[in-house]
Amino acid sequence: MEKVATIIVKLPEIFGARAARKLERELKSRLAQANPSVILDLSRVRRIDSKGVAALLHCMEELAKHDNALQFAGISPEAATVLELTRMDRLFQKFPSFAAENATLTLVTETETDAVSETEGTVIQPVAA
Amino acid sequence: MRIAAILSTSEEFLAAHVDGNLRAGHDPSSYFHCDFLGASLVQRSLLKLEQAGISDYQVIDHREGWEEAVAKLANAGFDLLLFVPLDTYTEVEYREFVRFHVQSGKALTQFFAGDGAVSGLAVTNAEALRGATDGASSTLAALAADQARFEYAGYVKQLASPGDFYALLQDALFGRCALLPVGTEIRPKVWAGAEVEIDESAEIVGPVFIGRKSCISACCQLAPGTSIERDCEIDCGTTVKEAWITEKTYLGVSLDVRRSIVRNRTLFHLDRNVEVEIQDKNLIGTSEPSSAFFAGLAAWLRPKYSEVHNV
Repeated sequence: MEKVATIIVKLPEIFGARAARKLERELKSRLAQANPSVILDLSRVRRIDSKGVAALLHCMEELAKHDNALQFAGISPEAATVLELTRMDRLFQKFPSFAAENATLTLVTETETDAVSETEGTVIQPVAA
Repeated sequence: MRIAAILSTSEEFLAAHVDGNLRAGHDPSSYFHCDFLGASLVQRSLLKLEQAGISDYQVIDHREGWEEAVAKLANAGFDLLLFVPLDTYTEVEYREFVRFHVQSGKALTQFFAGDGAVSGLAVTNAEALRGATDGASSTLAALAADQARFEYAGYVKQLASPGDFYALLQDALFGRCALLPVGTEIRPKVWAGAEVEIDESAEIVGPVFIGRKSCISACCQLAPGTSIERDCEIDCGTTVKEAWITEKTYLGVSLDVRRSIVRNRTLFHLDRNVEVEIQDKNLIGTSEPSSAFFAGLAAWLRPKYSEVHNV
């Protein structure tokens, strides 16, 4: 818990119940090991349902318990539209897009293999605070 | 003088949308039959034709069978054929347009506005199309070489994209064109159809239109430039701003709908130019007849229950 890392999670194209469960599971295991900041890359997201939105809120709550915040980057127009519709856009800090290779955790569907690589100490400077 | 009208989308419109990537929900051609401030643009065109004394017409979607329909009307004893493109909104008086054509002595009169011709809006002598062996399109193209030009300086709006429809809606609500909402002005710049239910805690700032039998629930906010068409239900705490909510739409609790067109459980965001399908019916759905039935049943039972209770 002493070293602060930033985890960048690249969300899949469809962020529904299954992907939401996976995100919560992944973050829970990582939060047990360290106290990371989390940036969600939504650039690939084409569809989010209410389960996905609920998962984002739940992740925000979990991170808040560790004095950390959930942040968004590279929000696709579809994701931005759903976040605005559900008023979630006001709750999160947002960054412009960043290079995909910065992602330390790519959330994929359960039939695919995770591409996870830990990069402790990665710091993404907020562009607009 | 016998006049028949043919209402269809123009060839240019079809060419522009043949490879369109919008789903059926927001294909602009599907908007022509949607309620638009209380009456569809097709209904409004037909009413205008009727007012001009033209009661014979044919509406052709997507131009399928257009050639055959034109040939049939040309050989049905009409004197003039008036071509009305659905993808152009104009406030021209058809009677005036036809009178100009007759006085011109030409076989074809093309409608011009602003920079050029309005595609598909023309009037022609039916006789010129009778027995046309090359088809109506080719014959009309040949007649165009010696056509009369009807120059129009009034309001014209091309309707090629969802944004165009929304712009027309704004022009109508803000009084920039003559298109009027179908309803009663219940307070300044707020029009409502019959049997509208508005909770007293709802905040409505005009210009806003609410179609018949729509329900605006508690703590909703309707901001200027909004049209809620008929049979919609806007659930508690939802804000709608600068949006066109087409008929029979349900908007869930505490949503923020802005700069959008909502239809068939899809939302088209005008600024992002993106269409999002909402599968969660708690967010956006259709106002089911069953729920309307139960609401009606509840309304019917309420006074009865009160009477019994009071006794």
